[in-house]
Amino acid sequence: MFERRQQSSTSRAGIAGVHWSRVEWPILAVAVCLLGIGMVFIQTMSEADLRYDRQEVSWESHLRKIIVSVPGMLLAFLVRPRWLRRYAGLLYSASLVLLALVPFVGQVRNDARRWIQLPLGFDLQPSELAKLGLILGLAGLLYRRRLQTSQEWAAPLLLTALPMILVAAQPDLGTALTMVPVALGMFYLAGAPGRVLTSLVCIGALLGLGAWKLELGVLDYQLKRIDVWASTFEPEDLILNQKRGAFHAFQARVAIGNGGLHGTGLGRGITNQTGHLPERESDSIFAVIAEEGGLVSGGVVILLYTLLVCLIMISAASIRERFSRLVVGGVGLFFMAHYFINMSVNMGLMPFTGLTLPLISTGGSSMLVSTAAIGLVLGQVARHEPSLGEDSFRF
Amino acid sequence: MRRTGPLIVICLVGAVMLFLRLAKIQIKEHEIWAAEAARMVRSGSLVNYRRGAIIDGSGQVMVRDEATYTLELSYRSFRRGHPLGLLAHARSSLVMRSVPLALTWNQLESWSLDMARLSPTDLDRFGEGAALEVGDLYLPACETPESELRAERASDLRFYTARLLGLTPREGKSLRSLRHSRNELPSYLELVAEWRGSSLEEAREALLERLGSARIHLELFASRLGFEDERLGDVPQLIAELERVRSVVDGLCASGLFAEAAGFAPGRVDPNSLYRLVDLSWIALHMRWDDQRLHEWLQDAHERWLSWRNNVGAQHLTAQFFNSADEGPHDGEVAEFAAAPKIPNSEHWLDLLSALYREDEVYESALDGLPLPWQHGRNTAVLSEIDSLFDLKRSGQIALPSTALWVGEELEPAAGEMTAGGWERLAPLAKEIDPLGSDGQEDAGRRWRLGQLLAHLRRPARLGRYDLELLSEALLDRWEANLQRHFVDALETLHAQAKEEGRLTPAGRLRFAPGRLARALESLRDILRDYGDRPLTLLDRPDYELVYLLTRFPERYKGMQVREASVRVREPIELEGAREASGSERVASEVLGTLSVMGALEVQMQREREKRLAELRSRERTPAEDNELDVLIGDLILRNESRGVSGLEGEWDDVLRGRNGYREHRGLEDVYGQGLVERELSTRRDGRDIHISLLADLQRATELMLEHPRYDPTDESADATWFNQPVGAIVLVDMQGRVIVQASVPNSSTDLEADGSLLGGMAVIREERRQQLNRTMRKPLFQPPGSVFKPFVAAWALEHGLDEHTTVMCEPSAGDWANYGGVHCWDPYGHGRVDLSAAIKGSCNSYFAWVGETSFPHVGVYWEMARSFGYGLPTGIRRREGGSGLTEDYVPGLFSTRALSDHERRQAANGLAVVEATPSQVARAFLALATGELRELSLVDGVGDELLPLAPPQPLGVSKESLDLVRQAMWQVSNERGGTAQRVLNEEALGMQLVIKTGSADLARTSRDSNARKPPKHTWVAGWFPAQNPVAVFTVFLDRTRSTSSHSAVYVARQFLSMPETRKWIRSQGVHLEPLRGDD
Repeated sequence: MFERRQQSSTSRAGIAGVHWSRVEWPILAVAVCLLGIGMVFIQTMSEADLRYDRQEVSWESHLRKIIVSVPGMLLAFLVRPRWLRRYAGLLYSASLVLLALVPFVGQVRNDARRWIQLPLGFDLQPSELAKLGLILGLAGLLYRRRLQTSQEWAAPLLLTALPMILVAAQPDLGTALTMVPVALGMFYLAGAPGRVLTSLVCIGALLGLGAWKLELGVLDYQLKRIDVWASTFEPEDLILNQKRGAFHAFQARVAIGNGGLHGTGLGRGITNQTGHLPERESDSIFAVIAEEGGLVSGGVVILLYTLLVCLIMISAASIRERFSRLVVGGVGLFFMAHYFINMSVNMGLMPFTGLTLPLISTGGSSMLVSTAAIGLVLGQVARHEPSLGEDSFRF
Repeated sequence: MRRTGPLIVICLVGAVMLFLRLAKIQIKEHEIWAAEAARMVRSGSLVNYRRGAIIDGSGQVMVRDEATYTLELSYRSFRRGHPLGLLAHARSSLVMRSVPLALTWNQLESWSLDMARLSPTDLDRFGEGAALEVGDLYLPACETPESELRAERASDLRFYTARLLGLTPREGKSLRSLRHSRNELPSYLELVAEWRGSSLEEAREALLERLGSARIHLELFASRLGFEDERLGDVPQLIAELERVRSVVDGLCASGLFAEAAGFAPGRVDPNSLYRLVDLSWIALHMRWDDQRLHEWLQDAHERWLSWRNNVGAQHLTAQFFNSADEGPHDGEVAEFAAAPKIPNSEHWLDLLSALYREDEVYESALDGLPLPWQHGRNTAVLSEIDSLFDLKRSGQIALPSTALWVGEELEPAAGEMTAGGWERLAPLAKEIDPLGSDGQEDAGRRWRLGQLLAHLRRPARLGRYDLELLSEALLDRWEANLQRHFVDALETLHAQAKEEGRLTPAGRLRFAPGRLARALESLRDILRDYGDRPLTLLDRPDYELVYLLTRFPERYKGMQVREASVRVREPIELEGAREASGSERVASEVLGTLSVMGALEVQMQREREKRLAELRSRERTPAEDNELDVLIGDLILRNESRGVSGLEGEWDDVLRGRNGYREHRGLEDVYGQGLVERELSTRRDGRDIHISLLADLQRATELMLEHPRYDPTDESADATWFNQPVGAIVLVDMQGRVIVQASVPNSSTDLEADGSLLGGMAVIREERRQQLNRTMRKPLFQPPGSVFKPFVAAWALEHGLDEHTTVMCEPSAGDWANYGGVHCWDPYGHGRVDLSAAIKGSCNSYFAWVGETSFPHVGVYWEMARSFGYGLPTGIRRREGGSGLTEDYVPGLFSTRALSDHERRQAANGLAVVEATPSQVARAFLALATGELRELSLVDGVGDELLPLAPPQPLGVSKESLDLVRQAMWQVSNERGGTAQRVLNEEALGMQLVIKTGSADLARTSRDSNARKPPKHTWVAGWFPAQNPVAVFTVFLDRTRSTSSHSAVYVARQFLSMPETRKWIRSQGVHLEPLRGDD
């Protein structure tokens, strides 16, 4: 099952070297399903807002974002691996530059400066682009390194740290931390020894714990979120603290719990009635899906994402070209980290952080990056461009 | 796959973990979260019942519930929506102190234009610390914008300006986009002009027009509020009221903020120490207050807390003490007649009271009857956390009292034996209580209560709720003093430590710990919203035009709202002819009674059930719980629900009172009418009307007459003093015993301070006469019937062998007044030889003294005679089992089972010394005399559509012959020369003949009477009319006059029987009345 069709010199490439028979249509299908799910729920939210005289969710805006993202996806699909490999560093640097520009030209919203307003009223969130930039940058660096010696670690670690620091300074610690599993996963894919990675994870965990307990390098509100999460794991505690900093977590948990097995029905959930759940169209959309579709739809979404990640990983395994393999693997890790963290946050397994659900949540930058990532995966898998500078026969 | 495989496995494991967690929340915890979800969209509302009306005998409604409105103000909506509020708070944000609404009103246009001339860029820069010029106000730049809350102020100013200009949502969105562009923006006024396609001048004019309209509308609104002081003007008085509400709301917000930081309410501690030693500038900063306002708030908060402590907290806890089954007598009253009265336990009471100084949860627990022992001194609401409140390097080293905060030698067990319950040790505290009243004046009633308290401390079985409420004052003041002393000591210790650590503010005050401040400031928005949204009452029963204005044009009166309410009204009784204006509340006030909300004891008694109801309302319920909720809704009395506590309102409260309903709503679509699910869980049932036999017009006329009685000015024996300050009662009943009139003065409407003239140097207004009660059924002091008792004595004696022809000599003897056996006749010269008939006609005391001596050998015979005519028994007016509201004094007083002396037997036959009666009892007795049957009096004819049957009459046990003899003699009283009432109550004067008896009962002289020429006496006239085929029985009673009945009560009786209303009623009974002079 996992044996993918190997490149054949006799197969004919199509446009820009695309082997259409190699396009991973199942990945596209799953992505389209997820997009469809997002569209359905955003549409019901928009209708609910109309009904309750709110102006928070706009179906038209979401559709516009999808439409705007499609060319990005196509572009990413058509990018040749060789080109990508050549310019990976540049793309990574560009994402860093955008991140660096945020303090100077970025807009402040809710006490955070994260967006750059582009012409035509489009707001770009560089931290989203930075995730993709990190994947490309790391792939570009790691396709020649196996991380077997300590000297080989410095550059990848620095490469990872730079965007993390810039994002964390916005402040956006949640997004910064999502880069960690992506980076660690790519290190692993690149060949890093398990024990080294384990040590890194342990050191990181200890540092994080220390930062929390000693309140070092973490902002007050971030500390508070961790404190709140730690003290409201159980339902009774969460209910008691619903007005003391645990409001978002409480609303999300109520929504999810209210769904039960079969859900409340589209548009009939408490989230849509009250509008109390913050970011219900973006960071907490999973809570809405779980409420209105119940365990059934929540399970389907988990299944779809798992399927997406597995298919991407399997596709990555089938790519012999190392750079593309790392890129595709990185994208798989990107989706895995996002969906896992987003759902964990909404279900109280992790402290609250603002992270969208790729392909489902509304959000221009998130949609752009997610669809581009899918395009990237499809494009990289559907091409084979041999390179002599790599070890094509070793993973 | 070697590398991707493990990642796939991790992904799968993660997915399983997520799914399991999802399943746990959605399946296992589903009920919990579904309940929380339901709570969010569930709301319930009570449907208040309409209380039944009281309707008089002619069908006229005397009392009813009237639907009305209450005008309320939600201050937050006002300051966020009305130009006056917007501008005042904008200005306050600028100058960082509270700008008065009155000042803002005067500057409405100029300040608004100043705000409109600002640009969004100016405000953004101001938020970042730049200077700002607003009109003639200049705010310099600052280097630390956070310290001046520049960002928040700028945000506020943007909001207020946008609202002032009335920006539409689209314009607001445009403004936000423009601000994000970070370009230099023009002024708000210019932007508005651009958006609306007008010139700058037009935009300016539009703003002024908007403000002008706001002025007009507010002036119109103020004019409809009906302020009393016309000199001050309507608008200034309205603004003063708005300012008052603002002050209250701000105070609550500040207290909420403080409590979030400190963990206790600010009012609990000494305001001066708090102000001096603790940095509260952060509160002032966020509330936009100056120092003076901050200090005022602290003082006010402390006073409010003390007031709550004394008037609410202590009362509820004392009520709980009496509510506890094992700890004290029920209902707080002295168990005087209990066979084995319980001894209340002082320890338990101290435990309960100490909860006032503990944390809120301990107080709540005490209200549930589970207090902490009072000796546990550490966990007071203030002191327990004080060492962690402030910003110190090391935790505060406070020496908290290790034993009870409030142990003092006065509370230690006294040496030697103590009375049960341990109350005596509190006697020294009781002696400290100030006997002066709250106005600093001598208060006899308070002094008496103090005396009672000291006595009851030695006999604790007699301790009542009022005793403990009085004692709690002293105890709590002692504890308060101890707490404040410890608090100030602790504060000063911490202050010294902070000084040593260099942690004081520049002003030398203690800073709150950063974590606490952060917690408080996080809640700032919620606190401001919460308290600001609470509606406060501006005016009860606004007129309809005001209601129309607010409902028709809510956008003009932001923050003002009307709420439906119900008020108990007494219908005005308009009398014909030239009378003083009749106020609806003045008719039969004691008979109808009053309403009141629950007192502390009743609140405590239903506390458990209230908690259960609150719990049921807040969650999903089973069908059985739905039923339980229904029962609770019906049974429980709401905190603001008025119930009858006296008079008919109290007596028939369970009938008049209906049953509240409860409706539950699910969904938030009630505003849009879609899909709202409404369920009636409890059906409302209105109270039932009661129909009474009283006639409102006649009642009112009688009351008015009694308040302004007239006498014959040529009668030198008349007591003019009494007629200037009348105290007495009139009862009129029909021949079935239905009460038509029950009038009494002084009543709750009587002006007791009205000047009265003093005649002959005699001050006749005494404390007991000032009691406003229903004297037709109550007798504050000894109240003998006097000679009106004689007909009953005669009837009984005749029935038991008295010969009506037997005569007795009534003459003076040995220089003394005419008397028999020491019982003096009213006529000093005596009546000569008299028989029964003449004795009744002339009211000869000597004859009846002889009857008493001969016909009533012992007290048992008197008892039997009196009871057969209803004396010493309830009249039947209070017919309800378990009803309470109407109070009737039918206890016979001295008419006891002890043996009477000979002299007392002679006096008793004259209705003196050992016999007492109320006017209602006398009326009932005369009804029996008139009909030959003893009937119960009745005040309530029916309930709803149901007529209440009259109680069957009982035979008198006196023959018709005996009765006829007595009646004939009574006829002579007013119809034959020599009768005691013939001069005044004859047929010519009244147009009809009466059958009556007069009576005067001398009272013992007191020190106030020692210089008076004549002893005081109660005087009576009682009987029926017309003589043939009577239609009614009446009693007239005058309290403490200086004249006999023939010179006092008879005038009042004549006036009563001559009133147009009385004559109209008599004619309505089919009686032909000869016209009087002036009759139409």
